Amino acid sequence: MQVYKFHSNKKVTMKKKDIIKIVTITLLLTPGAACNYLDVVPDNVATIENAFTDRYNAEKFLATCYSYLPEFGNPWLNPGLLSGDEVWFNEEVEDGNIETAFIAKGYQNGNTPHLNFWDGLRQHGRDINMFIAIRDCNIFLNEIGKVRDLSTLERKRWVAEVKFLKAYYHFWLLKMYGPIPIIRENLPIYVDTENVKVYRDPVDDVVNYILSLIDEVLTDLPIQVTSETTEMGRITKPVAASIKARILATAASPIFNGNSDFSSLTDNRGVQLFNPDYDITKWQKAADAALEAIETCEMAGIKLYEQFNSRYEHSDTIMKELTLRSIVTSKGSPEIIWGATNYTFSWRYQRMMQPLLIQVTTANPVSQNYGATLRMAELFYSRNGVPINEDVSFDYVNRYELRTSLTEENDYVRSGEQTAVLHFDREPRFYASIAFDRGTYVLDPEYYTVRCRAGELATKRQKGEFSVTGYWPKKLISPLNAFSSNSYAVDYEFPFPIIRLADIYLLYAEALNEVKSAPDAEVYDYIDRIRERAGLEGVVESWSQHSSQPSKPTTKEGIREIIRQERMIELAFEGQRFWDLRRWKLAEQYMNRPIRGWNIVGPGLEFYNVTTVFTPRFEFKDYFWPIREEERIKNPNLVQNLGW
Amino acid sequence: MYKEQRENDNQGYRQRRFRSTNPYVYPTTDWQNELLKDYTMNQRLNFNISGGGKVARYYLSGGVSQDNGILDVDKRNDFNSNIDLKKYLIRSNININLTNTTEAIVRVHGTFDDYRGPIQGGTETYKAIVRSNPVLFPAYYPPNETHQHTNHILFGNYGNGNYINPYAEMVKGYKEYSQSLMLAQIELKQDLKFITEGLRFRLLGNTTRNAYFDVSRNYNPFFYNVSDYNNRTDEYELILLNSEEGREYLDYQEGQKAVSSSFYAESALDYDRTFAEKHTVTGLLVGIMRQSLYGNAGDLQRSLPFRNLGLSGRFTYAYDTRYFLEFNFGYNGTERFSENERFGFFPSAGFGWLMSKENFWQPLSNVFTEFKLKMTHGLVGNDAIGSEADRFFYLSNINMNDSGRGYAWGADGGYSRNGVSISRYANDKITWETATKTNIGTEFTLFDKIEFAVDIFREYRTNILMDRLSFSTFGLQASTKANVGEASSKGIDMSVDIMHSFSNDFWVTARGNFTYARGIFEKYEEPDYSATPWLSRVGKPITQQWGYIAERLFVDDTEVANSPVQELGSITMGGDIKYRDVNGDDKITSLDRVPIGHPTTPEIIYGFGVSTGYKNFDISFFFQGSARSSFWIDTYATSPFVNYSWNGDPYGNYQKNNALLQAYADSHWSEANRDIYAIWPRLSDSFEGNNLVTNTWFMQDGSFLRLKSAEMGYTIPKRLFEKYGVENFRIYISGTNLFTFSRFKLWDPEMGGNGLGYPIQRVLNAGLQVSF
Repeated sequence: MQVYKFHSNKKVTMKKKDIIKIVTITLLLTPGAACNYLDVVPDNVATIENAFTDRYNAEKFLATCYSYLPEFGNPWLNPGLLSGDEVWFNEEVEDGNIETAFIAKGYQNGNTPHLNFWDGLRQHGRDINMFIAIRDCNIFLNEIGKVRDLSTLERKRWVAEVKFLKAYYHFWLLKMYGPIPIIRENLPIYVDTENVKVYRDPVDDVVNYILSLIDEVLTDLPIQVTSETTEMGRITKPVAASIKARILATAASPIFNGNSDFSSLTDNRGVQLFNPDYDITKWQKAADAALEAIETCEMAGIKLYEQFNSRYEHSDTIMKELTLRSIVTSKGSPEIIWGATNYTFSWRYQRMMQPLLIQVTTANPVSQNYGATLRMAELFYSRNGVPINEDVSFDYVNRYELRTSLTEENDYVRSGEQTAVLHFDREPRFYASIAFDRGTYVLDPEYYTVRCRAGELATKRQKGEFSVTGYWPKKLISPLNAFSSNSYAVDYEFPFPIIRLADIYLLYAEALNEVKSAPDAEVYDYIDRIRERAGLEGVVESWSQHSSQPSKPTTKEGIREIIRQERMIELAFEGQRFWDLRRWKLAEQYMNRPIRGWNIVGPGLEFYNVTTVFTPRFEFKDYFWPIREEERIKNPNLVQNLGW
Repeated sequence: MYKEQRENDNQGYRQRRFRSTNPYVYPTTDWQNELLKDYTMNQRLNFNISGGGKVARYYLSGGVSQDNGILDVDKRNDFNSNIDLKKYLIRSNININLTNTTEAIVRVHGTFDDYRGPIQGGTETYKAIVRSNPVLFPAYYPPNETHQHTNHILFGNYGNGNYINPYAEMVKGYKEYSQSLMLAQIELKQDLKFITEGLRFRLLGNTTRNAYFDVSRNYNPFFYNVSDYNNRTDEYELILLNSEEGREYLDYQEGQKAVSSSFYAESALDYDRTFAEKHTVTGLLVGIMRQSLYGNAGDLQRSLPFRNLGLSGRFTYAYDTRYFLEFNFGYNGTERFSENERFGFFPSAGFGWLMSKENFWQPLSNVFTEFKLKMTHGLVGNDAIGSEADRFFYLSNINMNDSGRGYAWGADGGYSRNGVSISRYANDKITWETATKTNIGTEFTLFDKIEFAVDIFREYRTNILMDRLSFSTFGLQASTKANVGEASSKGIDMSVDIMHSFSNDFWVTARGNFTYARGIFEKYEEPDYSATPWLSRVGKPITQQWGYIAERLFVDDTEVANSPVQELGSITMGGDIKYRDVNGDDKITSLDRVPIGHPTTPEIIYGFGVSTGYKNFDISFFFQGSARSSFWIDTYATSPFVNYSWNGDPYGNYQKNNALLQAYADSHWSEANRDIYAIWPRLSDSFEGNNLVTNTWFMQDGSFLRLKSAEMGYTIPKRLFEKYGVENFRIYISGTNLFTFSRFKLWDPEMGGNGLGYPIQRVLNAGLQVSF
């Protein structure tokens, strides 16, 4: 082995000195480097203050405040769509794990509540609850003053929008839970645990707080958005006024007004959370707010959608049907006051409502599982504008029997075909809202016939792709959607309507009726406008000529029933009936009756045997959501809703 | 059975009559057989050389290994997607004496992997197999008349084509990755005896570089299913399910590229001297500096370097090798905490007494050749708290561009803005977790052959990081944390070593160890449980689980109606588990959860083994076992027929059906056989929350004893090969995980609850060792 020889001793000595130097320097350097060595974080790491440095970032925070709105267009997340008795899914859809459907069946529980907007449901992959939404709104309201390049006018507008959203989130929780803790200001994050244990505030206090927020900002909101393309979906004065009317109507309804069933709900301080006294001034306030909303909407140019324009020739009946189907689905409909532009009724959901109408050679382009219930089919009026069980000329007793369609009835039922008596001689809104076996289905300019008896076109091809009742909601399918070869195209993924003008008209009529001792022309006026647009005659004429109870519209109770039915027909499938049944305290009556449809597996005409799809269970406690047990263990100040 | 669970759900389904004539129309596919071979062969080769002289010495070693997978690949594919993993390893150490007091050591080491295999890898392919539906479609269809000239394989699927077809997944492409790890280290040792006798200095620095990249190439399979089956002529049509997604040509995807580097430097001053032959004094001071950097951390905070800085020391004094005193300290800093909390000081002290060297011990020294008593007490700190994402507790973490929290305005959603979300609130008081440890022990040797060591220890840990109680009404987007927890643990640790030669040719060694440790919480951030003390975690083992006490299965629906209401996330029906109402409120809620079973980390761990040799043969084996632990069958992962996914599941968006374990098929509740003690309750095609909560029904004893390794070898007599210059030649066979004894019979208890996870493997090796 060759070894490299070192030169001389001298070098060795120098090496010793060098080594000593190295050692000392190293030992000295270590602590010196220490102070800075561990300081790795640079100065400009993002913190919450960065969101309010300029207008661009503050606008992002504004978007965040909007983003907590419930997903109105999503049947999985909007209880209004699937948790009632309007629509029923078959059991094969998504392996049955649909929370909204669980609520409809009566499976709500206090351990892991379904649709838990209090503690957080899994939206967008993260737990989002309404209290997070309210906290973010409060942060915005506190910090928006720091944004430098925001004009005063715009700042006022944004503050108004966020205050409204804060009020709306409180309202959403109020509808679901009843009395809730009001979050006026944010508690600091590292506050003592005892201070975090909030109490539920009585219903009246909550309603007053919500209204105070809205009243503060009504004047600061613009009457209209500056451009539909960029600002549709923002809060405007008509939106705030309309929602205010809805809130006041809810607060005046039997569930919150004079409801002695919940008078025993008191928290551990002894505070009674429901006011058992009936107060008619609540209805007066609701009527006033509704009238104000109507006037505001008129100023903003919002009006009833009147006419669908087509390039093709159609009969008047068909044009009426297409018009009714375009109220909600058409782009730029003048009737929509507020639509959820971020939560549209997308292609994915529209194809669930569409029965298959053409032969295809590949997999099904539509999933057709959104089944409307028989109850909805029976809800609509007869051709004469009165309920089918009151119309003297309607064969109600034999409504499930078969009848053959004549040539002149082809616009509604394919001529020469047999279908139930129930499907003949009904009002235009029936044919515009519900698709049934052998019915005519128009997708401009094509005329199709729905065929859904066993083995036919619009039945099951793959797992979960069929309507379990034999009906589909047609109302939310625009006439401009189309089938082409093996695919289905939607015209417009419309922002799901949160509130529209017809809703306010009916709220006004409802509130006015409650205030007066007997209905008069004022009450009839707005109902009749809706009926006229629907192709029917006025309330008084229709009842006196065709109903077995001709004096029904002259009494307060009679008109109340009429308005309720009118409302459920006009706003069918839009997510309103669910809440309406609850605020009228009628849910116990309706949600315990079986959900029915036709016999979808019976060959040929055996289809027309009414079958029960499911019998849901609704108990008194189901009027409100339960608070999760775990949350109550942590905070015993939150008293649980009655019955849970 | 798939049919049966439909009936159980009570929603009125018509029956499908199966007439299994055509295996493509009514398939029953055994995915495991289609895809996997029964065994495979791997090869390994290692070598090392060393040598040198007075000035320099070297050591060189290298190794190559070839691992093959057990996937059975279709011959029609042009490429082979079975697993093929090659590993190369090289190491080179050089020691150089620069002067007669200085030594420099340079070490260089590298490992390189080259891999080719299925896109998701072997484990994921196995997991896909156990979640595929065996009756909806076959692996592929043979081409029928209409598809005579189709270029691609007609894979089977159902619905929209989003069920897992593991055969298609395996065959549709391949992934190649390449990984290298390189380490270079230089060490300098200097003897400082010219300053004072016994003083030494050492300086060490190393750096590691890690690089990984992968590339996938695959085509998108075209999926078909049967339609219009004509019973009489046995003909069927095939419909294409995914005309838009299918693709015949290979697509290219660059996968992850991960690069990281780390740096470590250490300097140590070491003093060791004996005065007057009786007093031995040693001292040690070590300073370390460490840094790690990751090239693709994902966000700003995680991309910042990980750093540690520390100074530790140890001072000992021994008198006459009989009495020993020791004092240590550590002064460590980390970059994770705020400036005030960054450094922690952790001292400790110890004492030892070698009793066997005392004069009074003489009469016992025949039996107890050595006997030592020792005791230590000190503090230890831990900065590896919280999750990886929470690196800097004193900073808030905001996402200023969260698309999930944005909103779109405009008739077509044309004007949209992303939102702002918070994933951590700032807290600058977070600091080191500190543990006080006390240890008393003894070591003794019997008859100069049997060595025992027994230690009893106790530890009290404070400042444990915990999530503070979160209240939904507070509206926080992330949990807040604080150092509020405290825990204590105690235990005993014993080991024994025996070495004995009976004669020159016959020797035996044996060893065994046993550890028992129990840790409980002393303080825990939880709500006020004074009304329900069984829910409190204070005083219970750290990994204790809480659950419901299961009594038996419900006989039928009427019994359900007459028992306390169970609302645990699903509707209770006959055949579901019946729980005990612990607090007597006539409802089964989360207040009825009690601590059940042993903790999930075993309290007892033990092992023993024997090696023996006679003449040229040698045999050795080692057993390993654990006891006092419980685990739960993962009901989500093993629920038959359900669509199960987890976070990060590559098949999360697919339609899946969990496979049915044989144990469940043999014993489950059904309408026909209402066995109220069956293993699996009522079948369903969705998760039945009632049966899936943690309960005693699925609780299992996790103790086991495993023959961990065994080896048998024969050294060929020297005289046969001496002339070839060979020093040593030995052939051997060995195995790992050969047998397991446990009370739980369904699968290997170390797999945990998931019986459908990737199984533990039994490995058998055969080899030879040659040294020159």
